Amino acid sequence: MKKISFGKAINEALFEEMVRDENVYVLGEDVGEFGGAFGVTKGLYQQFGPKRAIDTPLSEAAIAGAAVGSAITGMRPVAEIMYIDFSTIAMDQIVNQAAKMRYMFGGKARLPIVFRMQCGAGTGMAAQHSQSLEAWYNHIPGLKVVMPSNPYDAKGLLKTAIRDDNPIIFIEHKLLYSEKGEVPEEEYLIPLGKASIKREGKDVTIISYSRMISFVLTAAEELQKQGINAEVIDLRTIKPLDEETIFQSIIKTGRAVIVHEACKNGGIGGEIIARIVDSEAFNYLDAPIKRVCGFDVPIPYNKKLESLALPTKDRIIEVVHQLLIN
Amino acid sequence: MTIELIMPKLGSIMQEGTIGKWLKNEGDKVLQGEPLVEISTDKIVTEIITPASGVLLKKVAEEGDIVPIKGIIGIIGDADEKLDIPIIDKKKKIKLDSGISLKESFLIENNKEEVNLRKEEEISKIKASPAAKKIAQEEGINLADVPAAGPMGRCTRQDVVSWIEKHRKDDIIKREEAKVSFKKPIETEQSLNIEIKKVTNLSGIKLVMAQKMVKSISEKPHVTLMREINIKSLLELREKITKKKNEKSSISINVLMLKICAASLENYPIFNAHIKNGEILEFVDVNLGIAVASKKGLIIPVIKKVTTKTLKQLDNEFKNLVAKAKENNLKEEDLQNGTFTLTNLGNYKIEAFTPIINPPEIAILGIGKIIDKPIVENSEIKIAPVMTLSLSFDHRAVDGATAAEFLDDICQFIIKPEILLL
Repeated sequence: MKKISFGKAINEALFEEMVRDENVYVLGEDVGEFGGAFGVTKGLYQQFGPKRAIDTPLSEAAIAGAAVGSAITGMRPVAEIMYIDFSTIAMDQIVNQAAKMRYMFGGKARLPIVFRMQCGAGTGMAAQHSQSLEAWYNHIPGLKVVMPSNPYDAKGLLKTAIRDDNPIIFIEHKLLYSEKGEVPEEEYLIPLGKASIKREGKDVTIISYSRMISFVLTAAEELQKQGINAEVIDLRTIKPLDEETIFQSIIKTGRAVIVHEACKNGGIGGEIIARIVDSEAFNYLDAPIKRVCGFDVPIPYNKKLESLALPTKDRIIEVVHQLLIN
Repeated sequence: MTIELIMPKLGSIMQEGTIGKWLKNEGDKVLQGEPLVEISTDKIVTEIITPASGVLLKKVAEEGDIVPIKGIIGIIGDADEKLDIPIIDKKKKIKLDSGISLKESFLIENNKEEVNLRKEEEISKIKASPAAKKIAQEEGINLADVPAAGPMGRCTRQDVVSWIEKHRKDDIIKREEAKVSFKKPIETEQSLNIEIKKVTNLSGIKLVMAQKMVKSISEKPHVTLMREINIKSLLELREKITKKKNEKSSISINVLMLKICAASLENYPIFNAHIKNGEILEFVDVNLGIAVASKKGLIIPVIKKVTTKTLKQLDNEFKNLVAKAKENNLKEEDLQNGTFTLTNLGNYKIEAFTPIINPPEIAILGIGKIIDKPIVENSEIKIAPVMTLSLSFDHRAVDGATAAEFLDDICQFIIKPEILLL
């Protein structure tokens, strides 16, 4: 199987869907001729022309608004918000318009939009270019939230997202773009709302997504050497959440840890915990559920402080120890 | 170090228990696992088991005292240990009203500094994971009994599972049955107007026997078939063997019957079996128990793999086991893994009886006294030695016809013992 980067996998998904359906188009800052700030839309302009790979002004509100308007008329826009931090400017269009219209128009309008947003810390870009805001979007009824961790999932999920008739927040971690992984030649789709078990285990369930999956897998390997057998679940889709996979895993292991880069307060982890304790899986818990998250601070510019603000392999291991060892 | 013997919580609604008879005196050595004192509630009468070996230093509560759960009943310690805490004046009645527990009053009495006594509600809150609680509830286990080994003193699923494994389900059933079977009779009438000469508590082997017999008779539908059989040929065979071997004493009827039963059990393996949890387990080996009356009570040593042994070997082993039984020298393994039992009351001049099956076995054969009786043979009245066999069987496992065939098979061996050689 060929190995391609996460960025290339997204590029392939966009290319294939634009070939498949002429209503699909991309818009955003520098996504056309330049091929995108992270090179993800490379070649689309050249292949599909300026009408289907549109360079927009530097206005996230305009990008989102144009996407909403064109979607209502039957187009399938894929709007790129260069940094999720900038999506705050487009919040009215995303939250008040895109998420609501299908409901407010009694189902007469469809909003098949994918908002691609790039997120995350780790590159020294400081507090305004490093956030993880998935919990915000998770909170809004009418939106779906997707966060792939590897090239294969990114491609399959983006293709499904483009074909979905609802607005989707598709969040790509900036440090994943160059990560390579196997992607098949033939076409495939990955359904939304289906988690993937990256590693089977019996002692503890570690639930995570996006870039943190690689941290969790490294921690799991080290735990294995200590005789602790961790099961790792990659959510892939934050919303809809694959509760069943989470519950079944906890029924098996009796312990759970949730790992995400976004800060702990008000994060996705709290929501997952609430669902677990409200489910059949509660009866099988043998320990409190723990979270390993970013600290509740704006991401520091200083590289060393930045890495300390994020979850680390050692913190994951330490928390698992707390659950299993006296 | 001293260990406090406390009033256990025996049921979910139990609040207090009444002290019955102390089985040991102050100063007596006590062994872990030994019954130490009887207690009763409005539901059950049971014994408290000694939690650790040592010496019973003090009976804190006397017979008849009502003690709340977790209240101190007694104190166990080392032989040379002196109780550093003054003991309550025996004559002073311990007040149990106004919610003060015995433990509290004990401490107050002794002017000890205030000890952080947990209130009842706090005690009932046990640190346990939801998984541990779920299993405990399903298995009917009081989590307070389960030692917690989890992080932060939490009782985990593993702790409960280990506890269950340690206290096998069988034990729980046994205890439950013991509670039921030894429930004090409900005193509906006025107290007895008969002078009591002696009260004996069931303990040791007698207690085990009582429990087993109650289990057997209440669980197993018993049927007993009896058949009188001319034993002349078997006695002749015995004489031949004795003469041939120049033995001083002849092989006992019991040993011959062991051999015969083993042969018949091979023909009817359904009787060489246990019945347990709705399953009948037939066994490869024929391990025969033989009921022996010892000083301590009825005991059933088991002779293993009877089919593989010669009469001589069986005779030696049998004599050896009986001797050990009478001297109370039997080891645990001498009493285990029986598959069928024989019981002989011939020595006591009993002809026929209705033996109770030794659970979880399926049948038991009672052997009666050999008596010379007139019998009719070829239209003539003759005198012949006859013996009555009484076969009790569990009607859940086998029916009367099968049992009759099995008994007939045994009789055929007795009539023509030479077929044992086939």
